[in-house]
Amino acid sequence: MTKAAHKNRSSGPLPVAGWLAARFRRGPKRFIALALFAILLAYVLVQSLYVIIAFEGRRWDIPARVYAAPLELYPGLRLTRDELAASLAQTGYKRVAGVSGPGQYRVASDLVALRTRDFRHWDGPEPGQQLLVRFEGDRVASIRDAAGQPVPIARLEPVRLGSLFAAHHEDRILVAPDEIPPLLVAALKAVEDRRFDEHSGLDLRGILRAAFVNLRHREIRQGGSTLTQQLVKSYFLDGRQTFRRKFREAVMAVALELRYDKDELLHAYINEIYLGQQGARAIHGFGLASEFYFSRRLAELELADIALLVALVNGPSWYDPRRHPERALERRNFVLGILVDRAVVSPADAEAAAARQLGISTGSRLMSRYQPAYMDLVRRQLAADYDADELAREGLSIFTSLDPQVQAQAERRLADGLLRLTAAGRDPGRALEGAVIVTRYQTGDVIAMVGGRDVEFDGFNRVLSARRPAGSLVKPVVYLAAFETGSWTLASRIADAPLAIELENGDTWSPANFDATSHGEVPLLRALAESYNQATVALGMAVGVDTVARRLHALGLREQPAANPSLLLGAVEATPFEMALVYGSLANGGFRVPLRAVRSVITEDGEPLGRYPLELEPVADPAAVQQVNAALVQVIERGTGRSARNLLPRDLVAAGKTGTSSDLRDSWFAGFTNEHLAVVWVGHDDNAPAGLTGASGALSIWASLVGGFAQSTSFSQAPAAGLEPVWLDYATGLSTYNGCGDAVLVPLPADSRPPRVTGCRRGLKELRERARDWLGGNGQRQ
Amino acid sequence: MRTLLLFVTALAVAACAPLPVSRDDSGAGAGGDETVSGPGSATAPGPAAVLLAQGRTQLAGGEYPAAAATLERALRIEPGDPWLWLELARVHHVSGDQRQAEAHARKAMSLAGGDRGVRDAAEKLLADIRRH
Repeated sequence: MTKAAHKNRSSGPLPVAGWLAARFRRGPKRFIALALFAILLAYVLVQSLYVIIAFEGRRWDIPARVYAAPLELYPGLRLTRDELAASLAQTGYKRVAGVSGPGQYRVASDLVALRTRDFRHWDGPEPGQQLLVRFEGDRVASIRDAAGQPVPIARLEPVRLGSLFAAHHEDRILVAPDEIPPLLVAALKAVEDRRFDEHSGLDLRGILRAAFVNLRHREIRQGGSTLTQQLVKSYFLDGRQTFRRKFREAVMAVALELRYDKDELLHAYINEIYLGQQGARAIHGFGLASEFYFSRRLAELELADIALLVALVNGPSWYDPRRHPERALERRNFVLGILVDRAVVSPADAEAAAARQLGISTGSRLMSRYQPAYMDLVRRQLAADYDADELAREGLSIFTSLDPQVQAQAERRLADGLLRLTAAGRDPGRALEGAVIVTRYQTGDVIAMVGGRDVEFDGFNRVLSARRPAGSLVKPVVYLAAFETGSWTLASRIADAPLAIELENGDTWSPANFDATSHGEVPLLRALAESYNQATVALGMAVGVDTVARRLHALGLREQPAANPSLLLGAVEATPFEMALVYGSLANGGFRVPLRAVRSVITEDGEPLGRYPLELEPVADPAAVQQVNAALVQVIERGTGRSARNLLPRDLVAAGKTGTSSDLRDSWFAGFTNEHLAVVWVGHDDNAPAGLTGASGALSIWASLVGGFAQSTSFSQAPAAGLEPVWLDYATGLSTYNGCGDAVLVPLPADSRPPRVTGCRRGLKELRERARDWLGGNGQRQ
Repeated sequence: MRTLLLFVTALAVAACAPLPVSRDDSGAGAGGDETVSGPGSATAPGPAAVLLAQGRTQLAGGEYPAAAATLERALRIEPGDPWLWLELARVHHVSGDQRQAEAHARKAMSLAGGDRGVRDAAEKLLADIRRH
């Protein structure tokens, strides 16, 4: 066209116009017919060329898939039979009476038999295998494979959390031709396009039949579109029902049929077609639809499931099995009827399938429920290395550390806790907000995150974005700074007494204790465990506020806070995420471990792309950190956090700290066991007083959460070089013996010799303990 | 009492020969009642030991990122095992990241308690790192 126009312009319009006029005069009717035919031909050619070029270069946008952490099964793992079964159900395994294929499991008295699915992890494929997992009590006793050989460790395929889809919100999972069940192909042809194998893109008989059926029933019962037309419509055209669009669709369908074989078109159709909606997310293709509706892979679906998916093609929202189960069931059984009529399945099979329920995975079981808070962290971490387009199109697989069981517990504990605290709180009419982050601090894995009361809300994520006064959560860092000078130990005494501090602006600051009394000379152990304000400020002023500010930044605060004396009592804003970093540095014995959600990324073809390795940075003196941690254990044993003791398993040693900001606006608790660290924040978004201390608010949520972790064991630290265990009298900080008064075993610098308590008789038991201490201490000094 | 038991386990670890593959040392990081050698697993090597061996093979074969990933996997199971941290330090050392190598070796040292085998190995590695 443009070429012709160009030619016209260069040689002048007159000769061509003259020639056309001459033709027109000779036979006007024939001329018009010819001209119309020429225009039509040009149109058809252009459309055909367009559709073929577009289809040739087709590349579905495959949003990056995000996976949770895989479950690692090994003998000795603390996991019950029912927990494994629940975990398998969540991963879309089907409970059966006898395992016959991948993705199935069977539960018996003390064992679970299962067949895992093939899965490509970052470090290579893990082939599916038959496993027999035997339990004893609350532990995995043994794992054997199909040949009866012991399996030392088995990694299951991870739960899929969702996709990082882009603005147009098209989500899909591509299936390869060999992953498509033949039954699906047969059913699609039978229901949607029974002459698919014969026609060349259009099915005139089908259109006439549909028109006839629809007329007879006075409603749209059948569509006359072939699968090819539906593919064209979905792939190239908008949804308008105009004649021109219909014509264009027909032209394109024929063009595709001429160029490609039936299998290619069918494969494209199966990956392309729209099958559902979840909020802004459009479910495309049978691969994703299978996971979306059944939490299972396409290849594992049975007749009833396939019939339902085929039923959905006709109207994914009208027949939405979650919103309109009756309609969906009726349509599914209608589809089953067609399959019998067309001899695709036997009447008996269809009857059995029709008797089944829809089998749609429910919200609680469906782990593909979007995790907005965690996905927010995933996006933020990936943003540094991948552009949005790459994530939305390239079909990457992203492996994260999210632990589905812990995530579910965190959601439940926060929701329950907030309800309870709101009801008991200052303003029962106003729901409290909260946030939780759980990490495995030693490896820097963020394993769970709840961004607020409304778990599903994809917006303000309080773990990452709520900057709130940290209150007493900063106190351990004041003590750390003091221990690092070498002039102070847990046994050192300090005055918890009224003090007046001259501020830069000329004001005088006189901090009071929470209980409004001063406690006199107290050892640092007790001052920290009881969170005494006056003692802590006195210590911080002696050490230097700017030192404390520097330490806070080194341990995990993004920015170094201003060195105002009020910093010593937590007048610094921090997010729960930052506090998880700070407390992680303590729990890790002075090593800062950056927190990550994403472990690794692989390409669509399974090639390793990026890895986010574990990193360590020594940021504090291990001996000083161990003293701080010993006091944090006493927070829970004897101090402000002792109400946690009733909520934790009796034998579980944990360390932690309460935090309360002024006027009870923020309630914090940060604490850790040997494996897990959790930070809980409770308050109001607008800073209104919540009426809760750290102990009365966040602590109960923290303790019920951490107390429920099966895999948590007692916090402990192998004594750092230069430290030795000493029994201290909790009240006075004098050295004492086990069983004498309120004795606490803490690590102290070997050269510190706290004065002895008097008037306590050493018993035989104490002597024995002393001997063991000595041997233990001696051992570590070697 | 609980804390005391921790120090006692340190002694137990010291008494052990430095055989990282068969030794069950998660007790060093656990409360006294934590005997991890679960029923049925008395003879078979534990999962962390299997992964440590795999990580060593990968390290020997020059597959550094794979070795690191395998050792991290092991650490998720046994975060208190100094031998795993030490092996990860070796991976960093060989692959040229001396800063991480040193940090990991120090971490191994901090978990060693009375285990002289770990301490000596960590000292030796730290000396190698400093020579770089």
